[in-house]
Amino acid sequence: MSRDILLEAKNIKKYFPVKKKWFQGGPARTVKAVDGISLQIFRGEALGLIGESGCGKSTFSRVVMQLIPPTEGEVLYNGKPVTGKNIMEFRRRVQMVFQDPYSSLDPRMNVRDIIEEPLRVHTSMTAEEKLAVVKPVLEQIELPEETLEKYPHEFSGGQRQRIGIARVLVTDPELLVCDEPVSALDVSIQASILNLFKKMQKERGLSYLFISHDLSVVKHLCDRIAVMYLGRIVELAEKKELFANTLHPYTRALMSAIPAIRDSERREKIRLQGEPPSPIDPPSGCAFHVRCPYARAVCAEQVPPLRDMGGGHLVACHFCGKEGTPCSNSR
Amino acid sequence: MKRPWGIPPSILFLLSVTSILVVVSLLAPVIFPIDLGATDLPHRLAPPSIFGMSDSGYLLGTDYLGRDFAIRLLYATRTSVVLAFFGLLAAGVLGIALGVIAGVFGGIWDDIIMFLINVRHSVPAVLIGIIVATIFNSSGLTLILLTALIQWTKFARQARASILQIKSESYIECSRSIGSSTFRIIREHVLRNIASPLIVVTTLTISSIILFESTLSFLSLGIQPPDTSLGVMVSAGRDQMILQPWQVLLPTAIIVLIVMTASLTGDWLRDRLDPKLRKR
Amino acid sequence: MLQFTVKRLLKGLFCVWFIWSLVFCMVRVTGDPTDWMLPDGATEEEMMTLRTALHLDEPMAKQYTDSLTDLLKGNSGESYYYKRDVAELYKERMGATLTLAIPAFTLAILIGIFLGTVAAIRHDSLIDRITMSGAIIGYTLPSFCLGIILIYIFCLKLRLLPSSGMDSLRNLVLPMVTLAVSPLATIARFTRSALLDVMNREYIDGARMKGVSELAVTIRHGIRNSLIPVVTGIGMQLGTLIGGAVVVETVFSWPGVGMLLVTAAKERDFPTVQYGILMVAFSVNLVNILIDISYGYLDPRIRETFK
Repeated sequence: MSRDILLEAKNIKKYFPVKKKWFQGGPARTVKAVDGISLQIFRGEALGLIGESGCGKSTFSRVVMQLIPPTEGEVLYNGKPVTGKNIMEFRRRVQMVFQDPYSSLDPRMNVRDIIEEPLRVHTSMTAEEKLAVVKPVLEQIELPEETLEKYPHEFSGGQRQRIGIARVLVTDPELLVCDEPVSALDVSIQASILNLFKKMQKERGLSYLFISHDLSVVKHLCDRIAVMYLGRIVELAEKKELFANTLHPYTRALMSAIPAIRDSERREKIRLQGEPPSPIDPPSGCAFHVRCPYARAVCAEQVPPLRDMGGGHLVACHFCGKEGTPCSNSR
Repeated sequence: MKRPWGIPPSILFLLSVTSILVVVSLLAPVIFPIDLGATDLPHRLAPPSIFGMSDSGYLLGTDYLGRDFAIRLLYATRTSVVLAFFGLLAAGVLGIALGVIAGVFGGIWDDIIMFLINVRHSVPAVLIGIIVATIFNSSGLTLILLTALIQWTKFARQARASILQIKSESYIECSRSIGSSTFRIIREHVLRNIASPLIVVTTLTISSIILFESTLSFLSLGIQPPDTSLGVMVSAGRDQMILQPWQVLLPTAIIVLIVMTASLTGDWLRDRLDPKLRKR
Repeated sequence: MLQFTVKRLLKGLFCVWFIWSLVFCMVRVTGDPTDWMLPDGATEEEMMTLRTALHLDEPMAKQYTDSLTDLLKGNSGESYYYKRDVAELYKERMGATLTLAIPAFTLAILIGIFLGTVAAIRHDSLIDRITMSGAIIGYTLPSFCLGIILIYIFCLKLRLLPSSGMDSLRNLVLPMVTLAVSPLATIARFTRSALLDVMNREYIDGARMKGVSELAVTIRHGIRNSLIPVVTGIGMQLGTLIGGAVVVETVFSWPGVGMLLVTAAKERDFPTVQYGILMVAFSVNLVNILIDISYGYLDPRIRETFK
């Protein structure tokens, strides 16, 4: 697996002003949805991004996809920023798979038109040429040819999601940004969709940015995993390393919540104190300190930087890894 | 007979009859060119010759000024239909434009347009007709503008609702992420998704327009004689009720026919187009 | 709740003011109003006198504020045609209109809701079809046509009832029926659809499963929950009723406010028409405000959206 960087996010910040009615007074407040994220996605890898609802991961995905502009920071694709010149190339090679299969397909278009849309946008292929591209993709997503003439409402959630995936495959992309692509599906269907993703990664050499709130989903598919909390990355590591050597207190709480099937896997559930804070008034210093069982004074004062603990395992905590600290290496 | 689109036979029947009537009435000046103002008093209130009831030479008799009733009826239908068509067009363009603006831009624009809708509904249509007739000269053009001012809200409400509904769905965002231009998104996604409910509104509004125009003309505040419309004919026929009731009944029947066809077709369209949108 | 009520009241007042201003502009937009206010053939002198009397030669802004203060003081102006105080004219005739409209509306609501409910309960039966066909005739037949036809049947042919005037209770029958038909038909229709809509929802199945009888289920849960769309619908019918009253009064020569308006329009009696419009706008807004406020009580979800 080559290690050249396909996509890089450099210190992305995205702040939104809180919408008010035009006749209301008071000072303007901001939602700090993404508060300084730097990530690299290597060619051929699947990077997972985990976090609770509201932590800003969807916003981040929209910034990566150039659907909304960042307040600060930039996104580099193959080392170059995305501008008016290369945006169409970007849109061919970097595609997004959406969360809700029930609203991401135009109910008034048949499946064929839906899947062919990227071809209409980027090429001037004839109907036969487009069909020639679509047919093998249809095979890959394991849906029969009759699907093409039907309409979205004739399909189940899992099938619709497959159609959505087919749509993004026709332009032969390099990177798929997947925003909770299985969250709206039944658990039994989730597995089949995840296997599909894995299959495509092997067959097409695809890279992924895979966003989810569910660690068990990400565990199956991803090579590296980043953990997000309130707009910032708190931990990033290769999958095996993350599960074997969980460092950040938040990640440990997430891990403990994964349902265990075997008795040997059963662990004590770490319950976090307090409520998930809102991104409008984030806590000072380390955003997690309010709920962290190991918090000290410095945690409320300074934002902890992401530090490399060795072998590319990054953690944003003042105390992790230091000698004699409660959260280092103990399980 | 194979039914296109699954139209119930009753509606198909109504549509056919109404269409024939409308087409014939539109051709009235070509088939029966007359001078609307010309009177023929010696022949006033002649009996009808239809079904061999008399040999007056007038199919449905004449009215109180001696004018051929059947021909006038056709002209009246024509006027009402033409006015309804242009009124519909004006109301539709105005209403859809405002509704789309309210939906797409939201914020203060939405508040303004919703306020205007509220203003319009504070006064019943007939009264708006009354005050406009007091101030301005009644004519076909006045009626068309009046119709636009009265009926635009139906279109605006529906267009706005459709836009808001689309906004809450993600296929527009999907299209953007694929690389579609705004123009393409409007052409391929927005238009076809707002079209169906608007077609239903259009059909149902035809009823309101015909009823409104005939009411206003009946009150002598709409189309003025010697021009004629269905409302004018009912008003003129009223005094003849005892001996020649068809002079009121026939224009009434035409009004009911057109309004019923439009209403029932609109209702059917609404039901037909909706389940397709229902998910699963 | 209080904040919501106040906001809603202000919105209503703003609405009435807006309408008044619109009318003010409409009058002056086509140039000199004295053109159409005086009969044809009026001399230039007469027009000048009128212009001065109406303050039309003063700057627009002053005209506007003067008229507005006039209105707020309660000065309704003098009718061009009747040469009397406009408010007096309306006061005299209001009783007649109310005598007609209130019974008609009550009839429409009671029978409409009843028929709609029956049609919903006996969904797809003969009763349902008959009622709905009747409703279709009800709203497609213009009220002036219906009035004329009823006069033909009951006055001219059967000689049962009088056709015009306001002398006795028998005079009331035909106009009231004519006025009631259209709102009745519409109320029946949407009561039926509102009830059907609610009856198909799952919490009704829940009640049925508990063993409650069909009728009790319909009455308690169905009606209570469909109350809001029905109340909305009835509120919307108020406008139709007012328009209908204008027409019905004209057909039956019923000496009410509606007939006054039509006569005034034909005679270009602007002050009378203007006053009528404002009164109607005010009343309709008032009713809508009351309905909106009652929503706050009926449906707690709506209270939330107005916070």
